[in-house]
Amino acid sequence: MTDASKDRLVGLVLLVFAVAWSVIVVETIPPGSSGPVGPRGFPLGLGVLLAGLSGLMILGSFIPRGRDSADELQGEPVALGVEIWAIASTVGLLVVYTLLLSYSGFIIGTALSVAAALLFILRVPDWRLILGMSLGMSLGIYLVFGKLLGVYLPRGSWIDLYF
Amino acid sequence: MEILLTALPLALDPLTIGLVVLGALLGIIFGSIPGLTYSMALVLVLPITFKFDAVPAIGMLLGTYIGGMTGGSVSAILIGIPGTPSAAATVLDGYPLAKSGRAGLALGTAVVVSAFGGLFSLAVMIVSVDLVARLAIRFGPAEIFALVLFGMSTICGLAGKSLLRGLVAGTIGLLLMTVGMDELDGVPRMTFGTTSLLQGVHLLVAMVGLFAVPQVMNMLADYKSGGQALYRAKAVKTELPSFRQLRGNLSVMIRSALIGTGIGSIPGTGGPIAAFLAYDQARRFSPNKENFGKGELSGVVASETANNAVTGGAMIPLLSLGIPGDPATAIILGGLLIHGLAPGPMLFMENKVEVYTIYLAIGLAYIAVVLIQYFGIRLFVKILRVPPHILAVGILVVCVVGTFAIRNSFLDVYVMTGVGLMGYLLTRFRIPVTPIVLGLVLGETMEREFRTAMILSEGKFDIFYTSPMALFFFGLVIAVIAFQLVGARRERAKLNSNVQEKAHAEN
Repeated sequence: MTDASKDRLVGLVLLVFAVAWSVIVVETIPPGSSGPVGPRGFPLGLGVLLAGLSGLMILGSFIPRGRDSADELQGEPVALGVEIWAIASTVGLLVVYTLLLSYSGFIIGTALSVAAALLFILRVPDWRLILGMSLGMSLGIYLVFGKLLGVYLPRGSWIDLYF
Repeated sequence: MEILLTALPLALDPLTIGLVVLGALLGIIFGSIPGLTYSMALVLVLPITFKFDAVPAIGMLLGTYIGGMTGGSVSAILIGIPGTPSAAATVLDGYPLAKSGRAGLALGTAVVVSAFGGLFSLAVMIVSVDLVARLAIRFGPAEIFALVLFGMSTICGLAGKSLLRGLVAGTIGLLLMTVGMDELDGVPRMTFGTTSLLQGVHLLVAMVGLFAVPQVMNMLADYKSGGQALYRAKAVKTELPSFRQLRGNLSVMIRSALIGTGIGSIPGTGGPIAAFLAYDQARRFSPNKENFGKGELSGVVASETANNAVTGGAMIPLLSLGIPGDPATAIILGGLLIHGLAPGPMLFMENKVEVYTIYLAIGLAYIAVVLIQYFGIRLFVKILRVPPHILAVGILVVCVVGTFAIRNSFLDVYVMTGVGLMGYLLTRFRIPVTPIVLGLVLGETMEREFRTAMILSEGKFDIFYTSPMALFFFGLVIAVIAFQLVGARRERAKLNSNVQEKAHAEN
């Protein structure tokens, strides 16, 4: 994808978002009574501003301008398939981990998620590393964060392993 | 003096010292690993500090910030890759020094001059924040609005390569900030009838999403594509520079500290610019010009003094005006707000003791950094050997734990995931994320002050153009935008002429 088409795409997505935002603001937020600028003023002004800026981005993408200076700093892009894999793995892991935490609490949820990440996402062949890291992280964080620093850790609704 | 005596026991409390040292250690670790940033360390540390009082909590954040700034030099010197962008100039001479077997001396010098730069800027900061705060105490809502607008414009202009994309990012941040209950009218905004959105997007949840999640995605992508680097740093022992070596570099140290503090105090600039400027002046004034880039100790001295002097410089607008200059200070501002210390002139009236304790904590953090780097260098060499994809899994766990701990909410964890995904996609489409954070941090003040000013003036805009101070800041906003537009045009012209020259030569 060229830089101009990237700008066009992101500009268009943001323009649609900004217009939808502004419409929802007008429909759902009352003008208010606290002063000349009520609760609606800022969200609406910002929605219009974002629409204008994204419009400028789209227009700007049609102006030919040689090479963009920003390209100089960009590294070699990774393949699209790899990128989608990385995004899906990260988001998938975060969602599964959060679900596990809500059902099985911090210790079990963390140990299972870390082990699953190493086994299925990173395909680490070393079972000692898998065992050590999953148990080490769950118990280590439980003891240091939960017990020593008193940070509130998630409790499970089905199983709860706390001591 | 009295305040200092009250602040001293608070700063020397074992819990505060322990947390400052822990923060410094985490900061150095994150700073030294290429690909991990100290901004990420700060967002991961912030939820842990919730439980503590303001002083130890802020101490831990400052320890992390300072440790992170110094830690970048470890990998810059040992493996030739800057751990943080601020240490990029340190590579130029630090790595050649390491290759010639003087890594220990380079590391030792880096840590000593870092502490010098940091403490120098601390002294400048203590004097200037008070002056700036005294001036700012007279600011009304119109002036504060103009000031915040100026802060936003510098960061939008300087954070990315394009002013337009920076402004788009800043506006997105401001938009996100308006979600939740409106504090002046008590009206829910963009909550779609749900109660869970009434409290708005928590600043910290957004920060973890924006700074940590995209990095993890990048680390995993590098791993999958096989482009992941494994660092094999050799075992080394830190060697402190001799008194003679330091005396020989004293003028470089002072000049670099001044450059660092000055650059740091301008929002939107930061460590990398200061380090390169200081490096450049050191080379110009040096009798051994030709040695620069080949392993000249003065090069390391200039870069490391300057990037650490940025820490004190950046604290000047942060503490006295509430304007953060970069992502790291924006996170510290978030921390200060969460702990009930709203930066600005009133901080110096109402929380004098806390302010002095913050000064002491900065000094303490530098002492901790020197000691940790001197005695713990072997640990950092070992950490550099841990493969990044393994670290990525650990970071995700800490992200989830930290985000959950903020409000004990699983919804926050999902929001963090969504914001992280958005941050990654925006970066891929060349929209910088720093202005989004600034928008989130400063948006509330901006809106409140604007609306209050409009109430005071009964709806007339003259409140903004009859105040000389507000006009001064609006003038600065225009100057920043003009500067950015002219700079971009020049750069484009230069690039085009280079391309044309190249084409001509090829023909």
